[in-house]
Amino acid sequence: MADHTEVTVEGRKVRIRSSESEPLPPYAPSVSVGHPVPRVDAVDKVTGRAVFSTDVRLPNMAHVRFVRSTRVHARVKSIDTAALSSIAGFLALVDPLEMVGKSLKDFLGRELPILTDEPRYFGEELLAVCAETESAARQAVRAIRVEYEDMPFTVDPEECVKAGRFVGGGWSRGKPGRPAVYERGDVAKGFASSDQIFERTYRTAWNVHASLEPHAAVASFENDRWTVWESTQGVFSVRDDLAALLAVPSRRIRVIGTYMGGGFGGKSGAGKYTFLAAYLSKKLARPVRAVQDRSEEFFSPYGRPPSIQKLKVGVRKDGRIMAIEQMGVHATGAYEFGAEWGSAENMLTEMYACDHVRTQSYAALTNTPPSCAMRAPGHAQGAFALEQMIDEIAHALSIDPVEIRLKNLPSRDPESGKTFAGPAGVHGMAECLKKGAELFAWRKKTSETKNDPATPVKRGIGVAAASWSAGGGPPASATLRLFSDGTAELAVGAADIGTGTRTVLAQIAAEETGLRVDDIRVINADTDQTSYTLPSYGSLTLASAGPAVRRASHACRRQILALAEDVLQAPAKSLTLADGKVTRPGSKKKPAESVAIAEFVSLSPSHEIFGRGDREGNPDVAIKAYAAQFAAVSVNVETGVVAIDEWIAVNESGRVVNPRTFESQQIGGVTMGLGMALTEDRVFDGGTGRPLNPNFADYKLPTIQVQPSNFIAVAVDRPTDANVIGAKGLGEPPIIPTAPALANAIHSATGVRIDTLPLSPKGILDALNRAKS
Amino acid sequence: MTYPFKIERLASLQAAARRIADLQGRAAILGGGLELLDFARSGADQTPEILIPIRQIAPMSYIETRSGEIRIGAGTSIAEIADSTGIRRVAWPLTESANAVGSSQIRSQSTLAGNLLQRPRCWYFRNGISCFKNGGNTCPAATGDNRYHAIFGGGPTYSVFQSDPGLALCALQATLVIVSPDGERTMPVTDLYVDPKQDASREHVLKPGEIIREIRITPLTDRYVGTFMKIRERSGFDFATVSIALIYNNFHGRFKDIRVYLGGVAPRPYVPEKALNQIQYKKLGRGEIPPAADLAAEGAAPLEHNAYKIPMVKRLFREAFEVTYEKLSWRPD
Repeated sequence: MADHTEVTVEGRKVRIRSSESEPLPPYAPSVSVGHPVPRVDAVDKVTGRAVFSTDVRLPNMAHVRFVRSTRVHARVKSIDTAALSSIAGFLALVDPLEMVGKSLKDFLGRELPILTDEPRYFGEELLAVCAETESAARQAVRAIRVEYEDMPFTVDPEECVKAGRFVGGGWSRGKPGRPAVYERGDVAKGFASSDQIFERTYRTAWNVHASLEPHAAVASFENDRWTVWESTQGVFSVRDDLAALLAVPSRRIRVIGTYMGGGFGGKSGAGKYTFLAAYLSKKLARPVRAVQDRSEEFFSPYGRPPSIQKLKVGVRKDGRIMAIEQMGVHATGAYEFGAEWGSAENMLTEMYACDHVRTQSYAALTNTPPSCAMRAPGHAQGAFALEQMIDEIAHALSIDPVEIRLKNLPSRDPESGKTFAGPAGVHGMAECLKKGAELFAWRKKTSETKNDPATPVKRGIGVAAASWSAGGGPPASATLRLFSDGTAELAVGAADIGTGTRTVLAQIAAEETGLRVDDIRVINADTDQTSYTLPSYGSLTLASAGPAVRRASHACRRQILALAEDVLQAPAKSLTLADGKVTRPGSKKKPAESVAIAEFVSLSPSHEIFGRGDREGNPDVAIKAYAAQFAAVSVNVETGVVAIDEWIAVNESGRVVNPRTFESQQIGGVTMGLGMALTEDRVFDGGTGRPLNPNFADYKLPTIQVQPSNFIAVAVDRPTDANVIGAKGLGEPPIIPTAPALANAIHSATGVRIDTLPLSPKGILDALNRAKS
Repeated sequence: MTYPFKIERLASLQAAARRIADLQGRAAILGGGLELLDFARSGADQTPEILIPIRQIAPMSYIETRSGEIRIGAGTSIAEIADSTGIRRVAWPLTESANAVGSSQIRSQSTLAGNLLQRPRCWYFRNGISCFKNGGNTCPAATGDNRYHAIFGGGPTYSVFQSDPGLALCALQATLVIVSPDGERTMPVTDLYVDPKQDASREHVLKPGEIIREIRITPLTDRYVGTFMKIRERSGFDFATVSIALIYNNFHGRFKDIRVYLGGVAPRPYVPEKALNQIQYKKLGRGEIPPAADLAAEGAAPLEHNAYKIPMVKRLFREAFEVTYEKLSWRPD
């Protein structure tokens, strides 16, 4: 671990020594961790007992809805609200004047106004109305007449860049009108030493998160305090955002997000609806509910921005990558807000060993909704380009696509130069590729996949890989309370965004304390009851909160063992904790003896055993999770219809805490990836600037029928030594290789590279047609 | 329901027909309600003020055989049609088309007549962007994003025919029984749809107050083969990119009585005349199919973004003939 971090406090640079973490014994779980424990909340969810934010109904609750811009870029000339007075149940109207200075902020502090009278994209929030019922609120919205003065717009990111309307798309705020540039080595030198240079432009489509539960907040103001139920990935970030917007101290806000129906990067902080609900709950002195409907989910927030990636790669004859140059454009919306989310360059800079890399990222200021983090931000797009390019190079050089990847694996993190987290030896991506190739019978299929020219259905196979920084880290903490009846309460701030966080954290606590998973109640995502964690994003939740839970549980374990040594008359190291009991093994003289953990809790001086754990700092290494996917497809070259015959997903994310949730995470990622690959395409009309398919009939999510009939998801279970539970994240990795693996398989079937998403029948037929002419 | 609809319950279909005729566009029939819900929620403000439920007024949901015909109540759900063994036995292309509609939830809720009269899926129209169909005087799809639009028979509008059962009913030469304020009449389903060149604002010829009460089909005999097929972007819950309904028989060793209609490619069910004439009356033989299929897209006038439908049309035409050919009770090869 780095022994200090440098920070600036009141303008002064200071070094903060890293806090000492208690070393824990090596982790050798056996009882609970590593077992396919059913989700702790499965029954509550399927029986409807789990209360999501959209389910919350409070007495006397009022409802907020937005008046949204019906123009793409305009100035509001006048607003006629005369008809509002005749609407039964109308309560309040909020206009931009009332919201002056109130805005959402992105990671780099760029702002998005809560309400505006100069909308810059279709669907932007102009006014908010509040009424007794949702139906009355909708009527009120319809009753308001807005007159606009239209202004010029463009929804095409390339046009914007040509016109100079862009900012740098990276993680720092560059100068306006300059792309964000990443550079290492000298690409000119790299290309000069290459035997062959490959160039291609790739395009990925607009996507939306499409969470089952829409963005939603219910706010109640009582006793000078707000309670907000929010469908969010991070209750603490919502609390902090709200505290800033309301200009009140954090202690006056409680945010609850125990159950939430999916986020995928789109629910990381407070939304405009959150603020309006909170603001109006105080103003009207009654609870206020703000829930977006499905079409609004297409405008606010915003989804994965489209990308245009011009990629140039130089290689030696033996397949070694010598230079990578990329120019990426993505649409970020007219506010610059969220410009960091569309850059695809990280994939190119971190995936393979290459000394000479240069990327430029242009975030185009299109008149479209702002860009947003969406599952594997940047990487999902970047992989579509890079992993197809690697495939193209492999074919051109007659090297096996698996081999060429193995050949270019970095021995150190190409960006930071740091070594990789242990265990030393095999590279995680190599393990994924090898295991997948074996299960898929890659070599056999490579030599056997041949196509009859007479039939229009062509078969093909493809592979793609991914890496993603998934080490987690501080800040995260957890507390565990054991009660004298042998049950316990585990409190963790992290949201369970559907991945099974509650379950795996309970398993970690059960493993350490010997309690049964069923006896542990998990309290999570509640700012009043749990300690701080980051939002559940970036594949960091388990690897951040998991070690904190182990530490909290270990603190309890020590207290149990101290009492058990006396009661059972045996040294702590001989005792086992499992199944709610502490057991001393039998010997020749004495038979085995067990005492219930409950007993020790009652004996403890506080009649409760309490443990707190903080996440230790990470060692000074690069911690990556890896993935490889293999696809076998049949493509009808006359209809463009793709059938997926076989799919294998392999992930290395350190220790597998729960094989069942691990597998569902892989299946979910691939399914979402198949949507991105095959059908999902949010269309903005060039002529009118308006979204053409803001609904689930025309924006085509994958259905169960898209699932490959032969779908195997396997894990490389290889605990990392980077943290005390050995696990890394598995949030984004499963989606990253999906689209390029499919594109590579389609190329193998048809001989044509399809460089534009989605790989729809139209996309495929158009590409085949272009290739012919 | 979030929009303040007014529901009016009337005593008979005839009364409903009169009332709707009187209200001239301000009222609509409430059947399955799927279209109404879609429009109420979308940007296209096409919502009527008054809804008249009709499935409760008269028997509207039945499948029966009478006078040698299959008679289907207009309010019968697509799911019931898909499940009917009677229809499967003597009008199986309709079964196949019913199974291809939407999702199981939509099949359960939607009615046959509602499916026949659904408005176009055109995304300009559905989003309330000004066009011929919502009071405007342009068709934005003509020059806009027309990837899903017509390659045949377009102009001035380019939306496409999207009803799967509608296409099958055309091939089955079904007859519609229509209640109007002045009584009842029948018409062939193939006459239901209007050429946009005659009226660009609507898709069918029914006037306000005309209600489809029943759909009648002459059963296919053993001599007939037929099928309904559909290419879509997503394997479930999606409208047709291109669809086909095909029926023909073996008449003394020849292709005879061919009825072939394409969906998803023209404003109305489209008959590929050239291809049809190529194969009609030809001696049965697999070899006759490809030359006809090659002509299936003859006369196509693709727009900027939809030429990809041309190979689809040819392929689907060929596949439909090949699949049905295998089912002929006698074939020379």
